[in-house]
Formats: sequence, C-alpha cells, structure tokens
Amino acid sequence: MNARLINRVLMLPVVMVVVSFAVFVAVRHLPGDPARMLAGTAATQDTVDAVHHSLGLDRPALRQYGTFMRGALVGDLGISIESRQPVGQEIAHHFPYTLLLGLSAYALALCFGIPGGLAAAMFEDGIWDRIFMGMTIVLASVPNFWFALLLMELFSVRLGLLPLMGAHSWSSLLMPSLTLALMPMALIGRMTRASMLAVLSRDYIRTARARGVGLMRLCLRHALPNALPPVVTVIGMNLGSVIGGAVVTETVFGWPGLGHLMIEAVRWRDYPVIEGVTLVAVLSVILVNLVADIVISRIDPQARHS
Amino acid sequence: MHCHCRLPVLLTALIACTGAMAAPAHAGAGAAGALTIMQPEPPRSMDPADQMATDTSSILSAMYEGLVRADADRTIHPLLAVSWRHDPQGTTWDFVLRRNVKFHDGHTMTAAGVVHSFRRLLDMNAPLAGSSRFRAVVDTVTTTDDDMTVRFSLRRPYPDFLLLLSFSQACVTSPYAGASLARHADGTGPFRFDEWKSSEYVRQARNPDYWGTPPDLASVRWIWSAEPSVMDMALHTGDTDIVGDLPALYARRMESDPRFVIHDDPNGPLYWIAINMDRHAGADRRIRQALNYATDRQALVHALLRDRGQPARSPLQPVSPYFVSYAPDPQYDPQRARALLAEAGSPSGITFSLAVQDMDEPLAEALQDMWKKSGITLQISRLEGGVYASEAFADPAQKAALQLDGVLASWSSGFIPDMQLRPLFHGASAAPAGANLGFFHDPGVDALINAGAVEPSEDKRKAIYAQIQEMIMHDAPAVLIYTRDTLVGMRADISGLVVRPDGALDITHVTRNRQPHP
Amino acid sequence: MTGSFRTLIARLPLSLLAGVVLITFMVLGALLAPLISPADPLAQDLYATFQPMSAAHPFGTDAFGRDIFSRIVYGTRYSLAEVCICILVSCAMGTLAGMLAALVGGYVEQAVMWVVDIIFAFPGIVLALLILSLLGPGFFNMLLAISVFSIPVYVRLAHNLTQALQRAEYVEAARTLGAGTWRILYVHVMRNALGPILVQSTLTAGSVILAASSLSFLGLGVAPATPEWGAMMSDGRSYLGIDILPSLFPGLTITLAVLGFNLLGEGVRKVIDK
Repeated sequence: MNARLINRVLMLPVVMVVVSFAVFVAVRHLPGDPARMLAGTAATQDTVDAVHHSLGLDRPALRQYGTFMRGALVGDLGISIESRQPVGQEIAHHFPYTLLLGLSAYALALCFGIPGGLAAAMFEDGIWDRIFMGMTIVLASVPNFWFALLLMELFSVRLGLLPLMGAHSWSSLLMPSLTLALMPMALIGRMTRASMLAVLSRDYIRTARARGVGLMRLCLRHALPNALPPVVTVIGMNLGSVIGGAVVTETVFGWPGLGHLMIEAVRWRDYPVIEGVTLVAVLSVILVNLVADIVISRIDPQARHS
Repeated sequence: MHCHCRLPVLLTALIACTGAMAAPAHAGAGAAGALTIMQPEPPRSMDPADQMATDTSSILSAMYEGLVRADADRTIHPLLAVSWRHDPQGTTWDFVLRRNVKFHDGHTMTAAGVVHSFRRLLDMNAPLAGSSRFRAVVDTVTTTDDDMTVRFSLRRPYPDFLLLLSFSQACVTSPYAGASLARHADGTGPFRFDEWKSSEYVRQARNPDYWGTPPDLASVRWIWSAEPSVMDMALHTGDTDIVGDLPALYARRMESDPRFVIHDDPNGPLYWIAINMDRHAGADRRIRQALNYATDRQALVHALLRDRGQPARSPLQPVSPYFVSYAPDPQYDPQRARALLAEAGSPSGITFSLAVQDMDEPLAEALQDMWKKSGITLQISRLEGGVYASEAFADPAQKAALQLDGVLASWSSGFIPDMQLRPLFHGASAAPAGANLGFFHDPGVDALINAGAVEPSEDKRKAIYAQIQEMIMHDAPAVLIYTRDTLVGMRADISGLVVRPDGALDITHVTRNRQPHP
Repeated sequence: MTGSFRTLIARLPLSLLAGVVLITFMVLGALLAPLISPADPLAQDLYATFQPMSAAHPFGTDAFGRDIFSRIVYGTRYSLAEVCICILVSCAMGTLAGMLAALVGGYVEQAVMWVVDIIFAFPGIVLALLILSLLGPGFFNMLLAISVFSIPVYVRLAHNLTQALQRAEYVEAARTLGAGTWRILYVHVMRNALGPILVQSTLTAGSVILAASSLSFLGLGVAPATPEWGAMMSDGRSYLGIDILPSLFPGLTITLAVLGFNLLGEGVRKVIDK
C-alpha cells in the first residue's frame, strides 16, 4: 500500500461527513413535503401541520442534522417516515438483494467481457472483432428498462421459462442480472480490447513475438496481466453507475433491493431513508474503489516494480 | 496464470446458478385456495387510519372491518354493528356491537375497544393521516351504560354518516396493538395478517376464528408494480390472478380473451382542471369558458380511456344519485373558444401554465395539442407526487409566485356529494385548507353546500345539489374533463370481487371456480 | 510488424468513414427536419392512435396519434445537442482538471482528486435525481445533471494517464530540457492521452442518451411531448404489450446513433495511433 492509499483510508471519515452534510442539505431542499404525502391530498392543513410536527420536521435544520449525525455515529440512521421501521433495518433487508444482483451482473459481464475483448484484440479487425464491437455497441445503446420488458415478454410470457418478477427463487435472479450486466459487459469488453491492443503494441511483446512465443501463450501470460489494471479501474469507476442502473432494473422487476427502496423514498420524500441509502451506496463505492486500487497495485507489474 | 484458474471458477458459479433454475418458479399464484392480487402501489401502512391510499385500503379491507359495510351501490349493511339509531337531529348515533367478535390477537371486541379505536382518529396529539374527514364530522365517541353500545356525537347533522363509517379509515383496530399497528395489522376481518416483506409482498391467511362465514380462500398475497406492461404480463403468466386498476388500453385487448374478465366499475375518479381565479386566466369568466370550449372531452375519453369513462357533465360523478347532466353539454368548439378569448381581450390567444402529477401527464399532453387549436398555449409542469401535492395545495400568494394558472387533479368521493362539492368548491376549502385548488368563492354556492350537508329530506337535497351543479357549470371555475372507470382485470375463474364505494377492492367473498380453462 | 497480429493500414480506416457518414446523416436530419418529416411532430390525432406502418406514417403513430417518423427526425436535434454538450462539458472540464492535477501535484492534486472521489462515489442516477429534484426538470437541467456525473470519469482517466505518461522517458526528457508544465501538457500528454479519452467519450455518447432515457423513465426527463428519443422509448414502454412501434423505432435510432459515435471515435483513434 502506498501513501496515497493510506491517505484515502484516513480521509474516509471526513469524506463521509462531507457527503452526509451535502445529502442532508440537498434532501431538505427537495421540493415537496413528506407530511403532505403521508396525509394525502384530502387532508386539511391542520392535519398536515400536526403530522409535520410529529415527524420532528419543524425543528431547526441544524438541530435535525445534529440528531441525525449523533445517531449515525452509533449506527442509528433514524426511523423511516414511510414504513416507521428503523432505516438501518430497512437497508439491512434490501442491501443483500442489491449485492447479489450486482455481483451476478458483474460475473456475467466479466465472463462475456474479458474473453470477448481478449479475442477481439488478438484478431483485430477480424470477423469476431467486428461482431464483438457491434454487440458491445448494441448492448450499450439499449435502455435497460426496455431490454428488461422484452426479456420478460420473451422468457416469462411467451416461453414460460422464468418467473416474471419478484425474488422468490434463484431463477428470479437471471433476468434482472442480465439487464444490469448490459452496461458493464460493453464497458469491460471494450476496455479489455483497447487495453490489450495497447499492450500488444509494446516493444517487449514484439520482442517476445519475434522470439517465437505462441500467440495464445503470449496473450494470456505476457499481455493480459499488463492489460488488466485499466479494466479493474474501469470496473471500480463504473460501480456507481451500476448501482444507478439497479434503480431502474429493480423497479421493473420488482426486485427488493436498495434501488427500489431509494425510488420509493424519493417519491414519498422519506428523508431518513434517502439519506441512509445514499450514505450506504457512497460508502460501498468508495470501499470498492479502494479495494480496486489495492488490487491494481498487486496485479500491475509496473506498479509492483516501481 | 491467474486467468487459467479463475475463469473455470466463475463458470462453475454460473452453472450452479442455472442449476437453481429447476427450482419451482411461480410461488403463490395458481395454488388451490390461494390468490395473488397486483396493484400499482405498495401499501403505506398496516394501520387503516394512518393512510389515505386506495391501494392500501384494498389490502386492509381483507383484515379489518368497520361498524358497517357499503355495497358497490352504496347500500349499507351491518358489520361489526348489528343495529343503530340516531336522535331526531341526527347528531347522536348509537351503535349496538356484534357479540363474540375476536380480534386477531385473541381479545374479544368490546365497546371500550371500539371507542379506543375511534379516539385515535380524533387525537390531535398523535395525528393520523386519514383522520381529517372524521374530525370534521365527529365530536366525541363514548361508551354507554350498555357495554356493547358505542355512542358518536357529531359536530353537525351528517346525512351520509353511515357511508363515512364504511370507509376503511373508520375500521376498528385492536386496542392492544399499540404502535406495532403500522407494520402488523390487527383487526377482526376474515383474513389475518401473515407477513409484509418490504418492497415484495403482503401475505394474509384465512382467519380461523372469524365470526362470520369463513372466506373461500386460504391465503392471499398482494404484490405491486406501477408498470402497465408488467401488470398485463403478470396476468398472462399467472404471476397474479387479479390486477387492480388495470390501464384501459390493456383492458380493451383483454376483454376479447376468454381467459380473462374485466370488472368495470363506473365509480372512478373525476378529473378536472382547477382554474386559479386569482390570475388573469381565471379572473375572466369568458376565458374560463373558452378553456372549456377548447376541450374535446369525447376525444380524450376515446384515446386515453379507450371509452371506459364518461365526459364530465357535472362536478359530480355520473354514478352519484345527485348527478344532474346539463344540456347543452360543454361542447368542443375551438371557434367559439377563440371568439371568447378575443372578447376577453386576448385575440392572439393566451398562455396557461398547469401543474400535473406525473401519472396524469398524458392527459395534459393531449390537452396541450388540443388547446393549441384554440390559441391556448399550455405549459405543463410535470411534478412527482410530493412536489405536486405541495404546489397544488399552495395558497394564492405561493401560486402567484409559481405563476400557476391551474392544477390538474382527480377526486373520488365515494358517492357522498358533500365530500365532493365541499372540498372542491366551498370558499372555506380554498387551498391550503382544502382541495379548492383554484380559490373559487361564491357565497351562494357556499350557502347551498352548507344547506345540503344537513338537509335530512332526500328530495330537498336533490334539489339543492342540482342547483349547486348548475351554478358551478354556469360559472366554470374548472375545466371538468372526465370520469374514469376503475378497471379490474381478473382470470376468468375468479368471481365475487366487490369494488367498494371508496374504490377499495373487497376480496372477502372471492371464490375460484376450479373449472379447467385453456 | 505485419500479419494478422497488428496491421496499420495506410489509408483512412473504414470505421472513420462509416462513422462520419452516420453522424452526417444525423446532422442533416437535425438541420433539415422540417423538410424531411412528413408531419408536425407534435400534431396529435386522438382518433388515429397506434396506427401500423403505412405510406402516410412510415413508422406508425404513437399513443396520441402522432407520426413516429417525424418525431424521430426532430428528435435528432435533441439527441445531438445532448451528446455534444454533455461530452464537451464533461470531457473538457474533466480532462483539464485531471491533467492539471497530475502535473501540478501537491495539494491541488489532492484537493481535486478528493472532490472527484466524492462526486464519484454517488451513484450517477442518484446524483442526477437529487440535482434534478432541486433544479426542477427541463432539458438543460437534465444536461447539467448528466454532465456532472460524467465529469469524474474523465478526471480520473486523465489523471491516471498523465501520471503514467509523466513516468515515460520522453516526458522526463522534455522536463530536463526545460519544457514548462503547459508545454508538456499540450505537446506530450494531450496528444498521447487523446486515444483513451476518445474511447471513453464515444462510450459517453451512448450513455448520455441512455441516461436521458432513464431519467425520463423516472419522470425527470425532458418536457412532456418533446420528441426526444430517450423520452419516446420511456413513454413507449407502457404500451409495449399493445404496440411495439412507438418504442422500437426510437430504440433502433439510438443504436444507430451510438454506433455512429463509436465508429467515429474508433476511426479517430486509429488515425492518431498511426
């Protein structure tokens, strides 16, 4: 671990405080009022005011933030306005689903992206390269909600193979993770290809090639380890957008993950849940990126030697 | 060398995943005595008094019961109360409770328990979301000498009090439930609460200790999705047996399919645009009329509702016994609209800014192009629920700052004319106090609304409400657009579903005929 | 080196040509929309909804009876503007910030990377959701939101590339020869980092249109009735079981546009690599 990594670990609490404050301020400035949402359109103003008071939303904003932070420090993220459950409990219920979905989406993306990108780079401008690049473009240009609905129509309605929605068996995981994998698939594939091409043009590879090392062995043993670090960086960097993609995917498939929770919370102006979910998402992304950087410093031959 | 061993590991993991596909796919739906129902929205609470959402009421109506029950045609039947009487003024009501009724927690229902349940509605220190309507009408709820009688003292006579008591907010909850009620239902209904998995489903099981005829179904599962395509697909795959609030487009296609039946309930909400009377467009009656003449209601009903609804001819819904249709109907006449605008000093047309909730956006989008033909430029601000509610209920000063000329809104009053006309058109209900979103104020209308609410004679009430409707139609404080039918899509083997006056589904007597179908 | 391994062809790459043709089509569509489209993209006919493909309506009509083909042609304007503005803003700002951070080093570098880490850690769509909820929906607010969450990728990419290049011998040589930071930035780093950044920005082209579409799905996209491709797909999804045309054709168009940008980027990369 180099100094920069240590530095980032040390800065983590500061980042979290800044993020939590930013989110708190942003959320409280969102137009709309949770009390009005709760009481419904038919409610009279005195009911709305009373609900407002009972939620503690009429207290000074800074004091509300103080309460929130004091709780957050000991792991108490407050009570959901909507479900009246502790936010921590809500997140604990939804987080595993998103984790599972994200992991299986990345597994699919890696299985497709790395070998595919590798092969495309090995035979640049060949037929597979063309097909592969075309596929990544199509994958990267289909809105995930639309792809999701087509999958449902095909595999659930027409073929009756997979459950339409919900999360009641392992097979329920297949369509949502395929949907969520679209973007990382394209990205990992293209990055692997681009990175491999860059490595393959380096002198030591040419030398090895000239010495008669076989193409397969050359690519897998010599080139791939050098080509992977940028791919790992990109995976880490795009984690945020995958969590974002989960918002849409989970909504369509009724998958009970954090994205689903977040959308409901934004819709109902459930302040504590928005804050809690955002903090958890931000923390996960930061941690995964840290891990990604550590992995890079391990697998990158250049970083290891320097 | 890493790559050589890592790929197979991943592959094995994937194969393990696909192996799991053999597991039973469709849980719940289709099993004997089990029923799955899909609705657009998840439940808000398991406490009937702490919510105002129709979809939540549907879920709760299987587990809770009120003192009385209303049929789709608004006739009142005894439920937890076996009989009732009121004094000549109609302000004191005594209800005699049914004996040997048990809450799901095992306690027996008593007058004290029922009083406790209703007092929660009146308690301003712990306000409940659904309590407004009751606090406006009910003053106190007390026990009497008889330990099975409950007495309501009303603030004023209220002819539709029994209908009000049939609404799901007035359901009786167990006095022993306490704060857990928000997540864990505890009532007297034919189904008892089983499980609420957040973002997934609510499950209910038949109540073995039910006082009445036990329901045919052994268990019920409620799921939700707001995607119209998903609703349609879920019915086709059998992931659900019933879809509440099916979009009209899909209903039209489904009615020709023998596997499904469509339950069409005409008691749907009324859609209208409340015109802000404090701004240029609303201050001039000619402009308000022009907006009405610019609206082709028939085309809107055809395109958006697939003819499953009716063009609005009155501020009351056509199913209301007090509904009076006025001739001539507000006709579509762009020429006349232009002429009226010119008369009002805007020959080149006007700009009208409208706040719309996101799900009603298509209606505004259709109006935009329609009104353009009459020289009206419609600016739509599409708002998500929370923002919409706060803008719609903004007071005159805030609406002036937002430059809001109108609000597109919908309202379902469940047959009680006072719950439609008072909040929407009474001067005292001007936003933010009530749903009079355009600040319409006519002392004559106010007086008639007040008179109608306390008038015991049915004929006189009819006359009063007819007069109110005429006055409102004449003054045009709103563009009344259409009433939308509530559509429920069901698999053909299901019968016995009731849509209650407040729009909630009642599944108590639903049965599945086990006849084979393709 | 020759053979199947890596060939550098001494002529303009095919991908560049194809990309230029596709993008030219888009630009022409945007400029000549009133001439090309047979109907007003906003004109409705509520009695002729969901019409099939015909001579009058080459791509059919949508839920409001509007001509889908005309809407797609007009939509080119929005989509081109989206892609160009978002890429320009995010790529220019991000790249500049990243390169400067790496070259200047010290506290500036730490501060920049710190801010980037924070923005970065927000899931993109959640960030956009918050920004749009605060600013209110609208075309330019949407572009702003999409740009903001696209910036960090470029900062990090440019930062990493610049750092790597700084270690490269030729930059060290330039430094010892007395070249200033700006000169190094301009002559050496910019030119060498352009390839990877172009790859990223052509990818951004697709994700910008998709992000716009996702925001429309969440009800935070362009104004109602706007003929924007992403919004059309999002609107069309509700009618998928009735009629696939209203969402199919915008979808195909998006794919073609993304293809165009990708081919363009790929072609430019090849030219630079030569």
